[in-house]
Amino acid sequence: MMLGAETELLQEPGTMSVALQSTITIELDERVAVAATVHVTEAFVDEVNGILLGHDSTDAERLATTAEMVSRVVRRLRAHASENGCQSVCTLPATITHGTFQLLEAVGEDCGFLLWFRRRESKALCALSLVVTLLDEG
Amino acid sequence: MNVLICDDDASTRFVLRRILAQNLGWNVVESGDGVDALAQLSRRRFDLLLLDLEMPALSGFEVLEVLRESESLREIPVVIVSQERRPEVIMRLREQHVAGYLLKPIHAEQVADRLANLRLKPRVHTGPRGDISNLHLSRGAPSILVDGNLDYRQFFLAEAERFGPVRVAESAASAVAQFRKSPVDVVFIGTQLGVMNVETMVRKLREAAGDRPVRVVCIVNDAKAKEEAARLGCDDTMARTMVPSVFTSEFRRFVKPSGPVAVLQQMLPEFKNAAMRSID
Repeated sequence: MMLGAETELLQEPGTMSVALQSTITIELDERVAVAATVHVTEAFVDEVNGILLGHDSTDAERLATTAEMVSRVVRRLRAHASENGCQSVCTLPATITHGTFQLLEAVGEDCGFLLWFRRRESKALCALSLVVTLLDEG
Repeated sequence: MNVLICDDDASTRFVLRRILAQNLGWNVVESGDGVDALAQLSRRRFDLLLLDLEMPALSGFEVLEVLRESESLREIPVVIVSQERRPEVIMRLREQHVAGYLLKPIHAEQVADRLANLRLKPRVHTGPRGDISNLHLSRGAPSILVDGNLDYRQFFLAEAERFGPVRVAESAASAVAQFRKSPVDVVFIGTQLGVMNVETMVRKLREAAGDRPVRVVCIVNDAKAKEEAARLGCDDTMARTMVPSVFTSEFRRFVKPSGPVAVLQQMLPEFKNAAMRSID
């Protein structure tokens, strides 16, 4: 459940045109940085906003909702890190809109994960990418 | 047998050392007080502790209590060496499951006989789990494979050497000899080991390793063999297979992680699952 929208993990993703994305970078134990990015289609963010606000969303509301989504994800990831004795610090969300829709790019196996989700009812897509870098490698 | 003598009286330590080293051929380390004894026990593997009761700073009773509450040292056999004869004290020691009681003054023949009669066996050193699981094969840290099957050795070598150097041995005896000559962090034990069995091999590896931790991985065919491997003192198991993809996924657990994702997975193995749950 993400902001009132029931989602499910998509095992065999296809393609996705990203309308907005929001990124927060988490540093874990000063060893690795994980850039967590929520990528949403316009349909997905509009449906979430429809549930939350009950009306068509404005651009500002789309941005705010996408940022809130990544904030929630990062809160949970930081809680997981903390439960496992790992210190974490994170940035504020950086949110961008793609004027022309952008195809979601793959994340290399050695540098991160890309997880696809869709709304159970409408099948609208969103994705979460986690791109990991080693801090001591700059 | 590695024995620690803990007594604040230097002359008692001297006498005991001579008896144990000369009569029984045991390796002896001395400690003058309880605090130092606990430090020694945490650093090295000992098969027996000879413990005085009356000592400054930390008494023998206190040392014993600490040991019995310690997960890794709970089972170490302790023989009390004391002039204490009061029944209530003896009863208290029985409750702490001491292996024997030697009354002072020490008589060489009695001590040797009593200790020899304990029929102590060298303890299998498993070491702190965390230390063992941090031992991996890497480019700079070779491992040893022992297996009597030539085909499997060749397969293992071809697959494993992508991750780091592997030295092979045809028999357990040869592997132990190699290990003594040049110790490694990880030893893989396969099948057809020759005359020396797995249990003896593991024990000899631990003895040769001394203070150095070594990760012993048994290559097993089924769940029953996996249980047996744990009983024989192996730290880990991996499935025996000659399917390259299955081998690689099994073997990766013993390869030093490299790359950012591997480091993250080592730090937080469930991070990806946590990410899945964070949206779903």
